[in-house]
This record gives sequence, C-alpha cells and structure tokens, in this order.
Amino acid sequence: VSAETNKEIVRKIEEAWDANAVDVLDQYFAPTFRSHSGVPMLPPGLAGAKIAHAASFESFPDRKMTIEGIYAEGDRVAVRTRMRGTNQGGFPAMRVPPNGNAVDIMSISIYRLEDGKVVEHWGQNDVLTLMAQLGVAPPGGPQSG
Amino acid sequence: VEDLKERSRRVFELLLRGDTEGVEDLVAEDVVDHNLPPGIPPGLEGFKQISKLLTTAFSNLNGEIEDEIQDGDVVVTRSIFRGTHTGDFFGIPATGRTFEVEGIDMVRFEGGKVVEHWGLLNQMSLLMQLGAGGPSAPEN
Repeated sequence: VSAETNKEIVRKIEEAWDANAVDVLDQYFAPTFRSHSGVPMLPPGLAGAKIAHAASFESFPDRKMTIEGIYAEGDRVAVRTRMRGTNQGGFPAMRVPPNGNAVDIMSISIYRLEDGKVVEHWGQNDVLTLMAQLGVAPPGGPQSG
Repeated sequence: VEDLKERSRRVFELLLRGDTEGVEDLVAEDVVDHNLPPGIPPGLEGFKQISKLLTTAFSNLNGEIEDEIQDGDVVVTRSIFRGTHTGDFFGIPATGRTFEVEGIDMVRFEGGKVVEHWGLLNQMSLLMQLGAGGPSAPEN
C-alpha cells in the first residue's frame, strides 16, 4: 500500500468523522487499533474514539472540520485539521454551560497503517485555545490565583 | 534532493539550545508561526524570543524525535520534550519539577528555509506536571 493510498484512507476517515458517519469507520481500523492519545477512562481503540467524538458532537452540534494539510511517508500519515463550531451543548469536562461561544481549533494527528488499516494513532489538540474560546481561565499563572 | 529532515532537526536543536546564531540560514525572516504564543511578535524575531522564553523557563531542555514524516516541502516531527522548570514560564514561577510531554510539529520549507510552522503539544499534561491545577470555573 503506497503512501498516497494511505493518505486517501486517512482523508476518508476524517471525512467520516466530520459527517458523523461513525459506522463507515470500522472498515478502516484494524481490530488491534490503539490510540496513544485516547481520552483516559474511555475504552481503548475505536470504541473509545467514537464515545469521545459523540461528546464533541453534543458540545458543538454544528461542528465542521476541514483538512488543512495531509502528509505521508512510508506507513504513516500526518493530518492537520481545523474544527469550527459553537458551544450549544455545553462542555462538561471543563464545567462550561452552553454559551453559544464560537470555537476554531487546530488538531494534528499521525496515523500508522498496516495493509490499508489504521493500527496506531497519535494526536494533539489546541486545548488552551479551546479553553480561551469557551471562556475558561487557563490553569496556573496569575489568572487562577 | 536536499535533506529537509536534517534542516528541520537543526532548527529544533537551535530553538531548544537557546543559541540562535546562524538561524537566519534555516528560518525565513518572515516565517509564519500558526501557533504563536501570546505576547510573541511574528517572524524570525518571534522565533528567537520563543527560544529565549523556553531556555529561560527550562534547563536541560531537549526533544527526542519519535517519528519524522517528509512529504514534499513539509516535515512533520513527533517528539518527546523533556526539561526542568527552573525559571518563570508564562507567570508560573520555577518549581524545579521535570516534565516529559509529547508534541507534533509541522514545518514547511521554501528555498531551504522554514517559512511556516504549526505545532501542538500536550499543554494540559505539561501544566499538570508543573503543578498547575485543572481548569478553573468559567469567567463568563
């Protein structure tokens, strides 16, 4: 499987997340798939990722994701995405009620594929920007006293 | 073909060492950092200030490369950053604590110089390792 083919698979994965077509995802992930950046307390693998995604859709039901850049070498694909939406459902993890605040957040993910299926994932989200846009004071520093 | 991975590594080495002499051969004067920290000016001057900020806040600072992806003029690097908090970091006074945090960076080259940078690291993990609490109640 070429790097370009892997890139197309990751593009389809990101588009499926964006369309909330979570059943489409199963074909792209190996049963052994594990994320190194999963949410603590959630089940590992795709099941946990789907739970986290459902929570995000509750917080931001109008969320729209765009792929800003996608790069591949060997069996890895890196993708930079941007998620825009408004806080209509609240963000319980940070004790934020629904407040209509607009969010615009960058994320970077790296996927590793074997035989056309994702086996590993690493990801980072711009959490401090998300907090600022939701109206939450950042931890530490003078602000939190 | 020019080895952009090698150039990317040198950029991060200079950044984390706080020695930015010769960095103008690797980073464009008008480089755009899409994740510029608050209070830092754009361009090469901002790169130098970030380097100073990091090396003032942390000693023994280094980045261990876990993965590199090169595709066209872009290099993606996944690293584990480590250091000791021995100076002020965005209002958090030195704690002497060590940290270990994952980050993913993307740099785009033109003419052998970095012209764009995107980078995210596990910010919450870093702040918690430095002893900062969880998120406070909403301001509004």
